Amino acid sequence: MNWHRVLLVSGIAAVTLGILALVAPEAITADINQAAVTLVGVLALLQVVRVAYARSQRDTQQAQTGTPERRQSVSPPGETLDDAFGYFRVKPHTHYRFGVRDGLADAAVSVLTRYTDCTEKTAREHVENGTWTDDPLVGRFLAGDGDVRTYTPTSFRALLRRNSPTDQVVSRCVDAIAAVAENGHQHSGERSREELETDTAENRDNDTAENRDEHRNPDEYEREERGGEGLHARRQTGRWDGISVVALLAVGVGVLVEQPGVLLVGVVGIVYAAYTRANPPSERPLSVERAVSDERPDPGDSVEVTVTVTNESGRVLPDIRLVDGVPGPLSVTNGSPRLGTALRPGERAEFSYTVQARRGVHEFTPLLALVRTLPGTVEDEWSIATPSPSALTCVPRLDPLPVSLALRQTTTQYAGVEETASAGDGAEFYATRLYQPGDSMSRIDWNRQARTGEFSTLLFREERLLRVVLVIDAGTFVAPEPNTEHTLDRSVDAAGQLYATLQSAGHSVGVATLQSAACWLPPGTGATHREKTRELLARHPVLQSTPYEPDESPVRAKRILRSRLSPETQLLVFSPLCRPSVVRTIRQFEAAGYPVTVVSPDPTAANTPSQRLARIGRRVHVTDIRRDGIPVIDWGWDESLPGAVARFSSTGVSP
Amino acid sequence: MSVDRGPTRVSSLVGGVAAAFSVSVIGVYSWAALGVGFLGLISLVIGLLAGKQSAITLGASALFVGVLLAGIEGVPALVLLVATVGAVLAYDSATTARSLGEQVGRNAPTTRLELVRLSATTLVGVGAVAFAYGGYALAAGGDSLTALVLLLLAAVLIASALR
Repeated sequence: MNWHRVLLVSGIAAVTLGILALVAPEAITADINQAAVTLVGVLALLQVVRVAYARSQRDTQQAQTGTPERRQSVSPPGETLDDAFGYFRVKPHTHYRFGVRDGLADAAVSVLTRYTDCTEKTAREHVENGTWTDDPLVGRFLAGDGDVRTYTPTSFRALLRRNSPTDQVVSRCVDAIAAVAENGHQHSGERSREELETDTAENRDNDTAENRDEHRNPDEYEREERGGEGLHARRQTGRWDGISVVALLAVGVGVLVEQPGVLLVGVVGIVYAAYTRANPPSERPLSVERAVSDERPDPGDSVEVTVTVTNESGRVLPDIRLVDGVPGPLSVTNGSPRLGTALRPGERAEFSYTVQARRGVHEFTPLLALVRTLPGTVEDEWSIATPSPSALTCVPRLDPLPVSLALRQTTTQYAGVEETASAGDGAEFYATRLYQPGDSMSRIDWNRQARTGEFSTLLFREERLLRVVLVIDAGTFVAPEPNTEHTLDRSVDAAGQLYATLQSAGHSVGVATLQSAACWLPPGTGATHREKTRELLARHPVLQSTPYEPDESPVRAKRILRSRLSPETQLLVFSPLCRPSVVRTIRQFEAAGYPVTVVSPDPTAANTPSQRLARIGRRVHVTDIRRDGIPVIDWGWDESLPGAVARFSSTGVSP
Repeated sequence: MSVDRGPTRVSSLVGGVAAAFSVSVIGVYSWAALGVGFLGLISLVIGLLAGKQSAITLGASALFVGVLLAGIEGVPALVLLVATVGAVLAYDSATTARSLGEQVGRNAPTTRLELVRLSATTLVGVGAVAFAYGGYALAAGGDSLTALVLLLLAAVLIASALR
């Protein structure tokens, strides 16, 4: 910096002397010849090389803006291999370094123990001996002595795609594991090698596409990270870096070829170089107002958002770039939440866009303002909030499903609507039995007594109240596609609909989550309870579309939930079954005497080997739960909830 | 809804036109300048289409090299000055188009910002031309080697300081 000042001062001194020499040639009598002129020219050219090199080393810098127009993106289960291995991790809290080979071996053992008649021990042996699969390469690799480099691509196409050998081998291992999971025997099926290679090559392509998306992801969340209000960064954009080359090159070349016209061009260069020095305002330059056309819309409604910015800086802001903080779960359907403009002091600008409302409380985040100087050399990154927070609150109606749900056979001691399989008091005829002393006189079948002379008692089907708690797994945010609704959205929507279905059938229904004890509504009936449920499902922070860190640990939340459940309560758990810990929790509840039914939206995709592995992992979880006698409604991503429930109730997949 | 992050329209158009203007002004006088300048124009346009800053910078540099080649062949000073401003304007507009496109996108309104920026850069250029050419015309009578060396040295020093 000081060095620059010295240069600048010397330059100005030289200008003064030069003009003096021009005006009064007698005043300065230095013995200067042509060589001095050439020397200055060469000096200029050397400087050119330096400046041009510096410029070529540094690209222009500027703030990255996210994409608030789109819904915040989530990834499919098994985005990485490590993530997929987590599905098979047996011990809950092991975070030891996990090799690809160990992960795949564990997955192989998991499917072998579930879908073949292997025990844990024999499965391990099979994997160690490489005798569990037809694919010799896979067998050798998981047995631990397979050098992946021995793999040679068998087709020209596979060679061309230049897949790394490890990718190929991993993909083939996943194929072999999938074959066991699907066929239940040790043969990997009829797929030819050729097919496998083209397949893995395609997966490889998907993998790279996925990676590119991953690179965008930090971008998506950058908005959140910028966090609070104020000036977040001052950046030298470097867009005029190297403009002095115009001056230096012109001087150097002009001197050497002795052309005054070329020397003059240098003046233009110097003027632009001087122009690029301008200071941006340092206090908050803008104020922001935001207005929404409807603060309490229904789901799916279009809401118009109008943002007004005012230049408060007292000076002209020639370059303002604005990106509004659209709430993450909302997507913009019309217009653009962005604006590029220039504002005189006190002037205001307005822009508006339309978002589509979804369930939840959606608070707008601060507006991102990039304020540049006139030449654009300095860019200030501001985060500006509105004076009062603006939010959309969208509370969906709870509509019952057109189908009924077959629940487990447990009831409370209170009379209700569930038709039980036991005889007792009720309205519907169930059976007769011999009269026993103490039976009510009114229940004696007098017709029969008249006919045969025997006393017999009429029994009716017992009708009892069911107490159900809807338990939502609010810790998993995955979906097969990046910018759609995710598993928690689906789970909460399903919980709302099943609440309405069960409540209108006369049952007593409550709401809880696996992650937070604060989100709890004891079982109840009636319109008030229904309204409470509706508000809870829409507003509770744990149930919002964006991840939320609850105050207590899941273990504590589980314990509190256990203490709140009265006996004879059954649970309806909504979970994608992506994590072994949730699977364990479900099985523990069942073992503790609370009959569980699981509603599981299936978020798995099959684009990459790791995603396919995660899909197998989820299948293993479903299998484990069903083997415990817990019915699972496996709800396909493209299937409607009534469809899945109807299929479940009619086939009676219950044990 | 996706965001089109391509270069914004107004600045792209002005950038291309300014580059073409610069090339044709010097191309009238010099074949070499026309050739190099035309390559620069193509590189700049490619940079705009592909959103590549390096191609834009390279193209603008080539435009300027074209101007210098024309200067070496003895093209009148005023033509050189105007062509230089054209090259700088082409660089500035193209860079604005790209950066604005990346940050704000093509679907959002940005015309006002672009017009302000363009006029500022053009005005500075016009001022620079007037200053340089005016000084040149005034000092044309003087014939002091000392003054020339001092002024040139000043130019090199100031340019280095402002870089």
